[in-house]
Amino acid sequence: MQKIAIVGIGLHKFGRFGDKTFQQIGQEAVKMALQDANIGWRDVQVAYLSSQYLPSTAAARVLKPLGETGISLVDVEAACASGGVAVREAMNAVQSGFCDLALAVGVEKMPRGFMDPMANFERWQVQMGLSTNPSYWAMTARRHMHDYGTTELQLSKVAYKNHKNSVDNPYSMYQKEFKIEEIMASPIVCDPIHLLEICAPNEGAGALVLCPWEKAHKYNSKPIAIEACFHTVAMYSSDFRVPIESMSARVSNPGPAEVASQKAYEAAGMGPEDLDLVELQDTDAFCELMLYEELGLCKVGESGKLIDEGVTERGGRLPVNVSGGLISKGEPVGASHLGQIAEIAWQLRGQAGKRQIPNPKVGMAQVVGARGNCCVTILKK
Amino acid sequence: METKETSQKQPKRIPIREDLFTAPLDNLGQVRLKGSRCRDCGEVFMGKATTCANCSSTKLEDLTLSNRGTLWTYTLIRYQPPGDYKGQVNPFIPFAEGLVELPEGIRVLAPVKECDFERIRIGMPLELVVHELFQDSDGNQVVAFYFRPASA
Repeated sequence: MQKIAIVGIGLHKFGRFGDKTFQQIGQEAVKMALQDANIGWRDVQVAYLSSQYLPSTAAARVLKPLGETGISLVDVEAACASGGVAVREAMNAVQSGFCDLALAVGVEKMPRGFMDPMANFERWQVQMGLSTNPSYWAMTARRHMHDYGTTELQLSKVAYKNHKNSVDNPYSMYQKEFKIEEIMASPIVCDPIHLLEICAPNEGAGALVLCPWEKAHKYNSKPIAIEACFHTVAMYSSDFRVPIESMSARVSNPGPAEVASQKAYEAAGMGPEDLDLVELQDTDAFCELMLYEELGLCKVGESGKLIDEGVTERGGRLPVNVSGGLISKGEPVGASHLGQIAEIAWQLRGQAGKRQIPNPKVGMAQVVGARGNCCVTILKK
Repeated sequence: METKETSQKQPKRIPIREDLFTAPLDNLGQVRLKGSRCRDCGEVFMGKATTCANCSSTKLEDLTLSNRGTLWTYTLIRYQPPGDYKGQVNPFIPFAEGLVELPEGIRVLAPVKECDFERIRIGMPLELVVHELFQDSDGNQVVAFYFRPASA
């Protein structure tokens, strides 16, 4: 399979931007990516735009104002993994020989306030009071604590690490360090998960220009290789997630992050030991711990130990969420994975500013969300 | 007068979700949750399933789920859930939400009520309660379910 390079990176800060339109937010990220690749909009041959909360034909709404060139502008949606599917489709377009320059862009502007539970749940579930978020994660966390002795302090340590990392990331919604005690004293949203341990829905955009590896240096002196990009939707009874009404007690399949990461490791000819940094889906602090296990960063049941040992801190052996993670950045769903990839690509290029880690060569980005949509991307310098 | 006749009529009970309960709903103490079992792989589903999500078989049979199980995991719902919650509000009464493991090999998501938060624990025996949750705009009593700590 032809190797694909990222030659342009663009990111619009994640946060809340008032009356600024999703078109403006998306266009800023695209222009930055085009400039980074030293190309103009009219050089782009196909574009895939990921979002979950934008109206139909969002790709055309965002991109046509840059020039109505007649190229295929495609909308993709796969919940929290939407951005991964945009990248994969852009890769496929180049790998198939359809074109040389493809754009993947994720844009989101999510409604403010509590999300209407009817968007995800059945009416009877809402009426019976089964629609509190993040109750599903809380229940999974509770069981993990029961089975492996994971503690509330270990959850808080994840949030502490990510908030601390965010201070050096100007693209993050929140850039504030909190004490462990403040995190543990913040209101309990869903026992045992606290307010300072969950991420907020928000707005933002990310964009990437892709081309064949052998042509990459024409566009950028520091191309980044996409070693793998894999999307999956959870197998039967593998993923306890909104709005599931029951789980099997007889069948247990590997979770979507385990499946996607195994496929990605295989495609890249690598294993977890080859990773120098990871950006993963910390929808809440427990989610990050569980993903340490599903991505093979540690053995099942040992994620609490991994955070205790400081392995995933910015100065640790395998830094996780040096960007501050979703807990700090917020989650503009359709743009989220593009943001993770931008962070890793900048780190691999040595362009991550104050949060730069020393000389990383390989990084992984991972997202997972509604219906068990999951994407894992492995990047290499 | 027509309105008088309506008000005197015994409210009709309807299930909160079709195919969830065994019929009839006259004696709620006798009502159980309904399920489907795959005749090929043995997997069990809540309500009426026509295709097995595990093996894609279409050979499913009805079964009645046990009214007793154990708490597999839980969380505590301390604030009123978002949306059109029909449980008690003003004041909202906090409750637990959990996965209840039934002997048929299924874990059912359910409210867990009448349970002291200090005493809730994974593995505790629970029993089914089928009850009238609210009256809908047509005057029907809508029947729902929860679990509570099992009586000895």
